[in-house]
Amino acid sequence: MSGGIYVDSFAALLPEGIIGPQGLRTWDHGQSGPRDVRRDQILDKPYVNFGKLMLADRLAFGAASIALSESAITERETMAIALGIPAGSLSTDLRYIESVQSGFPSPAIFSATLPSSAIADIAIYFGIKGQNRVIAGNSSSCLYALEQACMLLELKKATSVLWCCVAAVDSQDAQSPLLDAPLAAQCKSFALVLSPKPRDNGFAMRISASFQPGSVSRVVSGDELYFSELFQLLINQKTGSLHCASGDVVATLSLEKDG
Amino acid sequence: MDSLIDTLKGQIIAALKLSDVKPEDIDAGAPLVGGGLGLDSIDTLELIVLLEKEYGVTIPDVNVGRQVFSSVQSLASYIELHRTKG
Repeated sequence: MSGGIYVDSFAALLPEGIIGPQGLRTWDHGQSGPRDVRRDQILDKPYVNFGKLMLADRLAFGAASIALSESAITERETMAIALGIPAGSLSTDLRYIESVQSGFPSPAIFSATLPSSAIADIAIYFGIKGQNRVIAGNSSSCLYALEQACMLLELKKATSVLWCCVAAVDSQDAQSPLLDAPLAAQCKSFALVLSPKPRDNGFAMRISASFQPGSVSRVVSGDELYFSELFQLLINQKTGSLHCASGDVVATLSLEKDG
Repeated sequence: MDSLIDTLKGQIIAALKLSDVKPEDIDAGAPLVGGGLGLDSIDTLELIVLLEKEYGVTIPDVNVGRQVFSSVQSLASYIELHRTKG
């Protein structure tokens, strides 16, 4: 599907810690994982709205912030955003239902039930003004969002793309009686800054994704699982291919080094 | 009144999840919306819900709302006059 697209920077908030080009930083004592990420762990300056961010938005914002801070790309006017959220903003949906049941529905929580609210927070704070894409509520959302990111670059609709993948179903939500089907507890986020040109610091990892039609009978979690493996390759600057079968697609994600 | 203003500052910080803001950072006479707190229209709606929930106070129209939300001081004055609970 795509070729000649480079990873300029990357970051992830995972149960084991915060991953970026500098390596892994484990969570501090008392932090259970990504859901407890603090502002000072992802931003240098105070940000009055950080506490307002709902779980999915906070996770996306966190990974995006670290990836952007490590990126060599400073041109944000023509940077696009592609976001994949396999379970939608499920955690926020549940919080909103709770507020409705309390008799005082929260407008702030309602506004954050839109998966695109994560993109709004990121775009406003970081001054990203290019096109954006959101794919939510599909177990292949992150793969589709990556496909969209590659397409935006190939069609020259953007000079760079911030790709984000968010799984915001924590263990508390996974047990909610409001859910129809069991969902694996996943609370993690990933971000890639993608560019048609390699970085000039020697980090020249090319990413490609090829999609084939396929069918998987039952999927209980999103395709974010595959990106944990992909990011392990990125950290170690290793090449490799991942064969992903998720939802209604089968895809191959490949990382190659230049030269 | 001063006690209510202090209580309101804490409630605003909690309701709007204003990280990095302490009660003493909020100037009771300063504009609530469009001021240093960075509040937006959604925050205003959230404050309307807070008033109704905590004090049984409603805002009948936009003009009253503009006046009430002009500062923490005016918010407290309005609550003093119209509260039915809390």
